[in-house]
Amino acid sequence: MKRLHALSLHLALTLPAVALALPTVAFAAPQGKESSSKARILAALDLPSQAHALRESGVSDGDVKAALKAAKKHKVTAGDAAKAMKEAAKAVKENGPVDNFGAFVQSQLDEGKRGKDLAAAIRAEHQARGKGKGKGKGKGKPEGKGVPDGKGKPEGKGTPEGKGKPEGKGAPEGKGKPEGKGKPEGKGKPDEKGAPQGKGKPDKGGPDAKGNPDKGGPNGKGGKGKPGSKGGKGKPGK
Amino acid sequence: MNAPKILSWALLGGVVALSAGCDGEPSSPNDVNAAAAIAKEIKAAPDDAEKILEKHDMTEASFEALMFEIAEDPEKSKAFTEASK
Repeated sequence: MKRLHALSLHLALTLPAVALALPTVAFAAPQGKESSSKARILAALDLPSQAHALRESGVSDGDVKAALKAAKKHKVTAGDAAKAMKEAAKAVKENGPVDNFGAFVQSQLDEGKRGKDLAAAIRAEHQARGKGKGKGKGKGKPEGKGVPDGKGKPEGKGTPEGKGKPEGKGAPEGKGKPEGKGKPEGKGKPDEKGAPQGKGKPDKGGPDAKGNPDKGGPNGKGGKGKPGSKGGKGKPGK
Repeated sequence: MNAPKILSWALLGGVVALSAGCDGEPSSPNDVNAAAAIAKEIKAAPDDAEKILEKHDMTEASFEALMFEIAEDPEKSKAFTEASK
């Protein structure tokens, strides 16, 4: 008995709700059909214009035809085809045309892409393989300028500067070669440690070291430090 | 004897030629202009799109096919674009 009461109570609560819901569903369906049919017709109107715009943007007639044939083959609606063409024309303006656009659309349709997915694939393809990005609204100009200015000038300056300075420094080194005689300077190192070296240098090194410390230092030929210190050290060592 | 035969063959050829000409979708510039006129009509009253197509003995499917056909031809698509503005 209790079960019967519970069942009747349940039905009493749920049936009105179902009864209320049914009419809304029944009316909603035809409205959706009407709007979608109208939307499809309105979208289809754009197809010739979008195809024309795509050709105008630089895509070959063959590619446009191939894309349209592929769309028809895959039973893509004229409206969806128009949207894809619109997206392609936009992508061409931004990134330049791609090779074999028709074949690309065919392959994407073969993969089952439609609507937004197809539009996204077209956009991505143009971003990746678009030719003539520089021909666009102004993206190319910065790129064109950047390459020569950025790379050229610094490189040009760098090479002469690099060569000039080391050469200038190298010359003194060349003069320093005679200082190679100073290699025995190694012997002089211990002298360096000894404070008296300074005193010894002028005496013995005087004649030999004249060239190095006197001329080399002030004249700047050999560099002050290297020639002077080496010459002074080595010769006294001998 | 030969004249009636020749006449009958000529008539048959004419019928075949006419049926071939009427077989396809609109293909002359005039048809493009007619399509553009329908397009303008629909744009003016979008809510009556289906009724407008019916008035011109067209269905949604036949209209889509016509749009595809015009789009595939560079000259027709250009003419349609200009005429339907």
